[in-house]
Amino acid sequence: MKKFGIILLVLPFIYLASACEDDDLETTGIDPFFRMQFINADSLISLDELIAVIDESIDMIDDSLVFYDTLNDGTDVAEDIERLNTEKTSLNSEKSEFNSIKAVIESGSVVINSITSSTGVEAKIPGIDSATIFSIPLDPSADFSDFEISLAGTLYDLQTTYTRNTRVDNDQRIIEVEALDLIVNSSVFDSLELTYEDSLSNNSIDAIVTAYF
Amino acid sequence: MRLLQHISSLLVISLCYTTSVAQGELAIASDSSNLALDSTRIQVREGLFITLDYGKLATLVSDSESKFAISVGFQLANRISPEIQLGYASVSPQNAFENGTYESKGFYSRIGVNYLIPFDNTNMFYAGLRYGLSLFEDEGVYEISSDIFETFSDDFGEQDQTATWFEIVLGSEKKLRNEKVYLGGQFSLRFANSRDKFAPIDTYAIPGYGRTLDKSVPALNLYIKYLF
Repeated sequence: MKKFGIILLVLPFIYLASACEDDDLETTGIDPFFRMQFINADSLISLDELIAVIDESIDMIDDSLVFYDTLNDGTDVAEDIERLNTEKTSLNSEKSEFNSIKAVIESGSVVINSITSSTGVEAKIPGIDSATIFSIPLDPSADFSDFEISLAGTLYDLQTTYTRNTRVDNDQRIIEVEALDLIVNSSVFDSLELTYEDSLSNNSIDAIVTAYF
Repeated sequence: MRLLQHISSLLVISLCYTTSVAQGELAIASDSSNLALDSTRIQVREGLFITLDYGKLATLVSDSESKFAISVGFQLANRISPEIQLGYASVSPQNAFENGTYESKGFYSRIGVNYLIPFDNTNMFYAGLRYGLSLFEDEGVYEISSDIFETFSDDFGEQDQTATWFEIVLGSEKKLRNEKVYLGGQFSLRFANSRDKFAPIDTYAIPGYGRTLDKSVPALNLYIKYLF
């Protein structure tokens, strides 16, 4: 019975010892954000124009080859046909190269030098979700965030507005601020497209903004 | 919570141990002779008592919580024991929010009754019911860091909150060498009845009750009792 008494006396101190846990706050990685990709539309247009010129040249070569095929008067055109075929091969090779460049541009693989917020504390080289999509943090203390994006040596402005919503993640025990109904504008980008991965969502973390420049 | 479950298990083991020892002693007494029965007749002493939850006193040296509770009751010969408890608690659970701090503080009271089941004239088991009421307030601060914006910080909290609950209590106590002093422990399971709810950040802890996330809250109390 003495052991029973000892157990009762010791239990409160065991409980107290367990209460002395690490009290550091985990405040990072919970700010609202949206994702963005950048497409060099000007380069795409130029490439499309170049590819169109190549296609026209190939068509003309094909027409010439058909014409040579129809000649039955004994004229020796073998050299010309060989030259045209060589030229056609070269043009097709050049077209393939342009198409490869186009695919890279369409995937959004561009170099971002930095992203700076007009009200923020410092410029940031953004984290890359994939090879082409960048996470852009939003200001949890305001209903808007303005940015300057340095892209391939040129500065582009970007304005965002949203509705903030505070919520508690009961599983993670985190108080977070969501950014809902995101709207993006810019005076420099050629155009901006906003889509949601989940069509039922209006949360910025599901939004992908595609900027064409 | 896991530790609390362990402690609860320990108490249950202790209760079983107390029960088995007491029953063993009774068996020996009844086997010895019928005459001995008269001398070992189990009686419940009638009288006013006060109890002090000494387990809570240990929190006075803790930074994260501060608790105090005292009870007054009357032990009747028919084994019924009405009791009222008054307490104060200030709790700052460190796992309330990963990115913030939280504190809930206020006064609480429990009123209820125990049914006493003595094993012998030294050890006693009891079961009881309680109704609890807490008047309290809570407050907290949370932070969200950003790579390119200033760290965002905001506070929250509500004054004048009220909560009520019911409790099922199982406990045991042992008389010490001093005939009027008992050492005891009790396990209780608390069931929320009513409380104020808030959005987006709801109350996390209620003084006297515990965490609000669970529909029922187990609790362990250790006390010393003086029977007048």
